[in-house]
Amino acid sequence: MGRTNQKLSRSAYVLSARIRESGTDAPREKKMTADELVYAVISALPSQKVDGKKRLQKMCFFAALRSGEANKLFRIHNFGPYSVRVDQASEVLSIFGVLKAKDIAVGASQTYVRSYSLGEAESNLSKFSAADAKLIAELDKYSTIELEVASTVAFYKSIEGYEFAQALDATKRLKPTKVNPSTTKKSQAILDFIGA
Amino acid sequence: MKKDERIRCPIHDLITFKNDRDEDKMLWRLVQTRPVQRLRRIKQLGFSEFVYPGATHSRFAHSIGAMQMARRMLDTLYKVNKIRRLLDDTDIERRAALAAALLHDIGHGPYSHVFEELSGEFQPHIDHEQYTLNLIDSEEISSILKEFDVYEKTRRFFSGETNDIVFGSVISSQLDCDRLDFLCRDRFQVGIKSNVIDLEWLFDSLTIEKVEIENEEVEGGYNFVFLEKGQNAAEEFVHVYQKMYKNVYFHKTTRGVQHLVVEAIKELVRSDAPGSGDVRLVQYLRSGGDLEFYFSMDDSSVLEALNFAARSDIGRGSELSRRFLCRQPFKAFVVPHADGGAVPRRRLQRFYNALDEENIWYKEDRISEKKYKQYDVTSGLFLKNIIILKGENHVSLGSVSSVFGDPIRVEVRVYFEDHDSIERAAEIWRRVA
Repeated sequence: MGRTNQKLSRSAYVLSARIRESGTDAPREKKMTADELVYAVISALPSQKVDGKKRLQKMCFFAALRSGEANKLFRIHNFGPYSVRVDQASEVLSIFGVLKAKDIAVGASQTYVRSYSLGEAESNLSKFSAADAKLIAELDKYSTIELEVASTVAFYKSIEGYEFAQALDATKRLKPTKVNPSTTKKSQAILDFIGA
Repeated sequence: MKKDERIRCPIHDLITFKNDRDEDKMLWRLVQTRPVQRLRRIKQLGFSEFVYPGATHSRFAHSIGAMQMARRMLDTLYKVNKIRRLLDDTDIERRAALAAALLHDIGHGPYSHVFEELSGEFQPHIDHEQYTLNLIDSEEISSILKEFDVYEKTRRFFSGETNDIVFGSVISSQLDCDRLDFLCRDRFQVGIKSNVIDLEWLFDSLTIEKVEIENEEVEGGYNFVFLEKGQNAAEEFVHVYQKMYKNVYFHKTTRGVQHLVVEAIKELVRSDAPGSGDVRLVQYLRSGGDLEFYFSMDDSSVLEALNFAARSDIGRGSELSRRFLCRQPFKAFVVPHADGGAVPRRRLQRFYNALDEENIWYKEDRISEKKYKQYDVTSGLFLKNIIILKGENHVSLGSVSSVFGDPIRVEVRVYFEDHDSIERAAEIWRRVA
């Protein structure tokens, strides 16, 4: 939907992130737009590149979950947590040259995945603190399907208030072929790591 | 159903429901239900009629068409023995798929894009897919599905990923019955003479196979696969989709009307206009209406609100509503791309700041609403990843076809209320270079 003037309803979403200053317990409030969230996630990845729109969505979900704002940005759509603003942001930042988007063919089927990396256009968008960047780097070790299952479980648990087993059941109904003992174990590990 | 029934269709010619066939008896009864009949009163293309006066066809016509499209696909696929071997009970699976095809749009609100934006503004957002599921669970629909033993199977198409369902692709894929029908029907109704899909050749070139894909961004499992002979048919489909997006689905003027209507109704809902509380749409948006309330609304609910606002005295809301009645949409300024192809972000920011300083109203229309299938083509991936059989290998269409070329360049459009504002905006844009 994009932006409108302040005097009328704003359609740009403002995300608040609370970041702890090292050495203190006083939280520092940091507001991030969806554009900044996407940019911060990609900047925090060790390769500064993410292969896949789905992967980017799930990374952004966990980042937003940690800041306590995922319920405002994300909802279940097409069977997993999805943010239309994150989707828009990744494409718009590519239009602006802040991100570089390229379709790359992978595997024997040569099917395509959209890869986003940092672009050449100057950006004044915020980045994560060291702690949050470390979180994203850690998540990068998991496969996309593992992130997909874990994020859906996390959505049901943290946003809908389900217990883990109930959240897992709900996820299995949405993704019957992806929930298995291995992805279940990884989901638990991710949720423990995130603190969800 | 006492005798055979027939419906005439400009796309599928004669759609028949045979009295001696269980699937047809079920489908005919579903057609008579209130949720399906309501779709007669909701236009498929919303405000596109402001550009293409012939675009007045209903979601009802499209839903019947999608059902028939699914039937035609399944009839052709059945000729290929592989399909029968994939299934224990082809009749039940087929029946569920046809029910899903018929019911896939029952959750749509009036003028969907507008309605969902307004709903998101005033109450917790519930998208039309969730409403579709809620209506499938309603007594009126579920009782029929249960009677024909397909309630769970039909529901399954809407409640989770479908790559483990043999006919999942018929309902949800790049080439599903919904897309094929709306591409054919919309083209016909708007009057475009090119962009024709050769359906019979396309169906004949398709099969369903269980495909292993190592790319985690693409769903494996049961997928439509083009036979190698069908590459031309696949390319034609891609071409049509791209053309329809450009000429119809993301048309500047249609979007201008949508934005105008959203702003007009927002003003009405926020106003204290006497009698506004009796306007159905306003009641719904103010109260966070339930399923029954939602279900009672159709296109006339939106038109009622606009007519009411036009007759009232609520300032900007009344003015915008009167403009709607006279087809005076918002106008678009297309942000020019820089030489390198990117849109200059900082310049855009300066542009917006300058507009704010001069108190010029604007609304950015960054990118189409990605949750609607018509806009999937903006992601080049979606169509590139159609699977085609080359020898014994499943590969992507994008890897073997030259039809994709450069991706569709997505515009950044900024809408203004009138020509004077656009002219001033253009001057400002030049000034902030």
